[in-house]
Amino acid sequence: MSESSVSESTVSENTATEDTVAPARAATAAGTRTRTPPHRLPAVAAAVAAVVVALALPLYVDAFWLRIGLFAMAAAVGALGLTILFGAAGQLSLGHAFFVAVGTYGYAFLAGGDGGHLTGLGLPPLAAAVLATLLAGLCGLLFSPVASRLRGIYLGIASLGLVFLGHHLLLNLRPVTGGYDGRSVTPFALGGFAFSDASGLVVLGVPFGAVENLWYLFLAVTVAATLVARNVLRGRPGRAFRLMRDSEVGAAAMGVRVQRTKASAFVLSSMYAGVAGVLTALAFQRAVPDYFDLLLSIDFLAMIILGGLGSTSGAIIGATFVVALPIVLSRYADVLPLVVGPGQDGLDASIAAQFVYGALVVVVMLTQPGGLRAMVHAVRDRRGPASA
Amino acid sequence: MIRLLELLVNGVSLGLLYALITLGFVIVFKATRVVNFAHASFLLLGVYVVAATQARIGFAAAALLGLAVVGLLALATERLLLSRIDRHNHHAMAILTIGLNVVLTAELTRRLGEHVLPLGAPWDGRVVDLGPLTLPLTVVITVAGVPLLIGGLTALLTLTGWGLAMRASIADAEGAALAGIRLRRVSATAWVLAGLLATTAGIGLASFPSPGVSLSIESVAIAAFPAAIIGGFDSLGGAIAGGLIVGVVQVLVAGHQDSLAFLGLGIGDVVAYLVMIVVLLWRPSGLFGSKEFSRV
Amino acid sequence: MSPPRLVVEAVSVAFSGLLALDAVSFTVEPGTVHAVIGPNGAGKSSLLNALCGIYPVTGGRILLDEHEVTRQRPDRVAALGVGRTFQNIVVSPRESVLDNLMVGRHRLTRAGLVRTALWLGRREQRRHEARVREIAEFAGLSARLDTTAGRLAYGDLKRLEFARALCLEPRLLILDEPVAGMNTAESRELGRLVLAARDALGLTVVFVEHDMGVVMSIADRITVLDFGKVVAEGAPAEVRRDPTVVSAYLGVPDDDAPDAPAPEDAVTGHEAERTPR
Ligand SMILES: Nc1ncnc2c1ncn2[C@@H]1O[C@H](COP(=O)(O)OP(=O)(O)OP(=O)(O)O)[C@@H](O)[C@H]1O
Ligand SMILES: [Mg+2]
Repeated sequence: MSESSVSESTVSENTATEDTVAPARAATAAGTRTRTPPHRLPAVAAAVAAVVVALALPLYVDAFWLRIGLFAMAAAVGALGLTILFGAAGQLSLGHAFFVAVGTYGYAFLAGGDGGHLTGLGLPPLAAAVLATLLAGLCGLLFSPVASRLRGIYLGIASLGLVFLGHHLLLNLRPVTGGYDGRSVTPFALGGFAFSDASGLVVLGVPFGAVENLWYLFLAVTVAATLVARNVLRGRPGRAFRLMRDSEVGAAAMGVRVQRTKASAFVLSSMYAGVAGVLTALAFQRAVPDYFDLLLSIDFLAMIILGGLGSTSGAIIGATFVVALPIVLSRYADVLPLVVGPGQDGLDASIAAQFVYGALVVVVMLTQPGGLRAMVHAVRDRRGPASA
Repeated sequence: MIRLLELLVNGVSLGLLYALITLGFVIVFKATRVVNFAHASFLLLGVYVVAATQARIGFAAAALLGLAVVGLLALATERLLLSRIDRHNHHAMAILTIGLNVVLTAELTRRLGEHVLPLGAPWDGRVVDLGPLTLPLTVVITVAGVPLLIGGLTALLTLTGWGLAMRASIADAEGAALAGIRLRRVSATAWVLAGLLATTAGIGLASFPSPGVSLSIESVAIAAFPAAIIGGFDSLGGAIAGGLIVGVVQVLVAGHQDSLAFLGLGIGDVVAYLVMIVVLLWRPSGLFGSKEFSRV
Repeated sequence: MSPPRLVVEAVSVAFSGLLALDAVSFTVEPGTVHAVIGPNGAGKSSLLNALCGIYPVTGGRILLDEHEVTRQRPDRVAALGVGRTFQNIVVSPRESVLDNLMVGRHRLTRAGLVRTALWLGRREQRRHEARVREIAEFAGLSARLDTTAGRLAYGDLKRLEFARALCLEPRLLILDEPVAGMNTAESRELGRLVLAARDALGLTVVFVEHDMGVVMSIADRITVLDFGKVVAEGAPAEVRRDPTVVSAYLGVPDDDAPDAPAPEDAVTGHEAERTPR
């Protein structure tokens, strides 16, 4: 069907008046186009370099930093989902924390065993992780009658309710969630290899414990999530998302089924949140309800705004920043002015971090709505033409 | 029966307080198309100021101070921050208020921590016997006072020149601007008004039977968001109706907690969101919202 | 495929009390170019939006060949082969011109989330990109394909919308003020493109325009709207002479304005007050 509409092309043939050049030229131009346009090469090189560095990191860096990396990667996957939903499709969600919670508790329940007042299905961890992701997607689908009918900011307010409802469920579905105290999480294992301190692996003289093993697992998941997000954003769905964001009526007039497209963006972002939840479960090794509050949703929003809406690299950079900031501030509390470590009298590091990124969100909105990434681009563009 | 009546009166009282919060939120939205995500933290800031200063300067002065601080903060937000963003970029403005909310909440968390500060209102801790009903004085004052306040506001909007300008620009900003109405002034007024209403409602929320000012006041105030959606977001009458619905339902559900035990402990705190979702499924633009056809 | 016939039967559109269209009827014969003219606020855009399923039709019906499109969702109407442009340009300003045009292929392509995620949408994308480049060439946008749409000059934006509508491979092409804000040379050029596209692709065209030069030179028939009602219809030469048209444009009865200028001039006067965004 699409085949025929292309070959029916007659525009240039019959109108090769002074309006058009020979159709053949246009066709060849398209045919010889390289897959990676030259202007994207530096970005590709940077991405490859980042992955290479990330692969080598566990050999050189201690567990403290690796653990930050784990949390950052978990957050980055969630942020990728939100940047597809809000950055590309223009649909704000403040319910992201809810879907992350579904991923975390879904994994904990599916992979966990029965014990005490808790129940679990005891599935193999990989199956549990996949099912938890699908479960998050299913929850997204259940909410999509609301998500597909509201637009932009309104959806943000409506989805806020999910966080509160979710928290209520986490406290009350005790056999599944463990209530207020939460439940512990079964470590990941794949084909007999446990991603825990018990793995006994030693690489180049470095003993690989849970953190090192998980690092590679997380890296693989994050890279895959990033590539999928890029494909989606650059392909047909991404283009439909962005026109829908800029004008729903315009998108509909191009044949985009607006409600369905909104629902699909919402479900996809829920699944990303689900993956992020599974990773969070593995990194924390525990699931506690109070972690999944409104502030977590706002954290995700801050990540993609600071990184630059709709950009995959921006989501990763933003996630790293927002996750690392409080941990780093707290670690260096003694040498930093004002900030103090937990339990001491003074400006708590996590509060200080909120001041910083809250203020940054305000500043970014006032100056560079494209986020930190756009600032970098702006600087580069300013330099570019001058040096060329 | 008596108990149900008591619950209803309490629910209406809570609902009227929600209505004040929601009204401010909707007025700002109608006048400027900005969704103010910092609205609940404005409210908490207001009552925090009252509670923190009342011991030294007395409740009345503290209340005025709280109102003034939030009014000024709202004005500053509009004048110094939002006015720097392109008037049509409502997304950016809404996100800016989220950033502002993070900063405000962080500061209030730092100051309040786990504390509960007494509000020190003269009506705190008193109850009134009205025939068979025993009600907190706060509830009586709210049920009598808030309708007067809303009535006064309505009179202001319908009878004064300022109100006319306000309503004109709420109905059609571009048209009002052409007619010589200064939009900047209208939006500044809307923001200040919203801040004042929020603080007033906050004083009610922090009064007996609530134990005082704590961080949880903010999560209570957040229920004004679903109230606004239920009412329809762009309707002042809807804001009041949405607030009342949420208040009454919350109190009734919390009052029948035992028979609703299958829904879990604390269902009263989240029932507003359930109602919101049901309403959205039924009417995506809320009970009184208008369905717009974007012009192309 | 042969161009479709469009039949508009007593169509009304109302917005909370305001009757924007009042029982409007006309027929567009297959393969013809049909202009809709009228003063500001006459309901021209509302008519086009009703045709596309964007505005609520409160009465009457709309037929595209044998398909009834009254009250159909806009994406369904697009799927029947209706491509359109908007009066206030609707594009993604931050995306490239090529990406903006590629959205026009949405209905002709199939790659959904799963296929795109798994690198399976690329063949389709390349094939359609080739066709989109041909259309861009035709519309004179080849040199702009990598430019961010928001940076285009006004005339180029108008051409982008026109090209995007063609990217839908439409049978019925709907244009809302396609040359508004263009200079005379650009307008004439776009007029020629419309006729060229009609001939080459076998389109039926409905368009709204204030520029009488373009209307008179490319329209086969003209419907004149005023206050939501059809006040005249006919071939360009007839409409030009119709006294009610002159009065509709000037807002005065005919005999009060003995020296009424031809509608052409009247509308140009109108045009001068309009500030395209
Ligand atoms: N989405 C809408 N909601 C409410 N009223 C509308 C809407 N769109 C148009 N109208 C009203 O319908 C009437 C006709 O408007 P329309 O845009 O169709 O006029 P037009 O003939 O296209 O004018 P112009 O030449 O200025 O483009 C106007 O009174 C307008 O205010
Ligand atoms: Mg129009």
